[in-house]
Amino acid sequence: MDERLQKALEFSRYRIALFNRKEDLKLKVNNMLVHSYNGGIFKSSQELITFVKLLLDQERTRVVLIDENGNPIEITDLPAFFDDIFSKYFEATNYYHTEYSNLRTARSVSSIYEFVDG
Amino acid sequence: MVDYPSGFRMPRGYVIYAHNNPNIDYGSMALCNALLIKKHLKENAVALISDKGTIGYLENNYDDSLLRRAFDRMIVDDPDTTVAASRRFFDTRYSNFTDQYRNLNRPNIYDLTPFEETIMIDADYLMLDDTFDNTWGNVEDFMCNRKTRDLDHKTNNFGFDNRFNEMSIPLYWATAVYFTKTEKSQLIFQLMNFIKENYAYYQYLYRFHHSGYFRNDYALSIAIHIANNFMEYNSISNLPTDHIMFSLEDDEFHRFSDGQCYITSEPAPGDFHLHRVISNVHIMNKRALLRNKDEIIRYAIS
Repeated sequence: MDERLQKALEFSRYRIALFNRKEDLKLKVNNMLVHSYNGGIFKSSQELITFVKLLLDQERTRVVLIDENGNPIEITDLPAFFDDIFSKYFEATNYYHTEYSNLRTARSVSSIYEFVDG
Repeated sequence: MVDYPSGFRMPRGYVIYAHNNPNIDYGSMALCNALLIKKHLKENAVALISDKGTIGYLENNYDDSLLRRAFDRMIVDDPDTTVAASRRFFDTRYSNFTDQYRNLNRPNIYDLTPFEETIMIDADYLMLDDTFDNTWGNVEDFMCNRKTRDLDHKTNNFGFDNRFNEMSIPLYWATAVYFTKTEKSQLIFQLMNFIKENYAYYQYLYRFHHSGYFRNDYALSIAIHIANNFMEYNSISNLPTDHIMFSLEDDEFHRFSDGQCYITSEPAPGDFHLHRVISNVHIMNKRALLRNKDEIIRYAIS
């Protein structure tokens, strides 16, 4: 096979692996952002964190929020809820950042997956 | 409802069905998965529903203490194997075999589960993370997923945007189902049993491809449709993850290491993609999963 074509194919294989790994990471991070409270399922997001902070600034401690499935859920302890979604968000984004940084330096399929043979 | 002895019932837990056939050891798969649940999840009670043969096989091949560690409850429910049809199983693109599919009695779960809140999962839906801890105590009494995603992140895996066909109803997956003891849950499982008994009729009515054996996913989807008064609206909410991630029968599961699955997919012959799977995953190549059972057990009990 022509050397140029061989290199191009190897590169495309690397690109596929990189894409899959990034998508895997996004899913993992999405899972890490899930937070359940009082029978509802929430996803810790910048929007939710900001909204809850706004409610706290208005000195509200007990509110109703709409969860991921569209159900109204009573948040009985808003400060505790805020702490939980806040820490979950940064736990997930820090994990994402660490893994993503490793990916940026990976130059082969095996290094993308930190695959050690043996 | 089964009248269990006092103290047998528990508040929350997972139910795994496993019925071995001569080629596939579903019992060992259930054992691996139960141990992964113990390892990764806070709420981790597990009940195995199986037949005498499979439980006997497990008892002969594994230490009693390991079985007790994995399963909090073992319930015998022998399926009627005289009506079990055969299906073809694939072990990558290059090997296949035909054997009986005995997983017929799942709709009985409403009566058999020892839990007030139950998550029923397939034996081969490996629990690699703690997402399902977010399911318990939900305001919804019945949850399952519609969306799927394979390891190459394709989402329309079975064509028709996860419907039976282009003009038919949405397909729901029985791979993981959460339910509590309510009238609605009972109705759905009763309907599944009714559909099972009249499967040929429903195949004709809903025009799905009949692969020759009873599909729990199809029965569940039709039951939900009937329970929705034959309408299509989103009366069934998603589990905490909005999709089921799965590895196709064409994929090879090479290695299980430190809680991660190293799998190659092969979307086209000879086009191999390596994956390191770190989230819950449904392994459809069952023989490949069983080739890794020792590593999974070793990891899960470490």
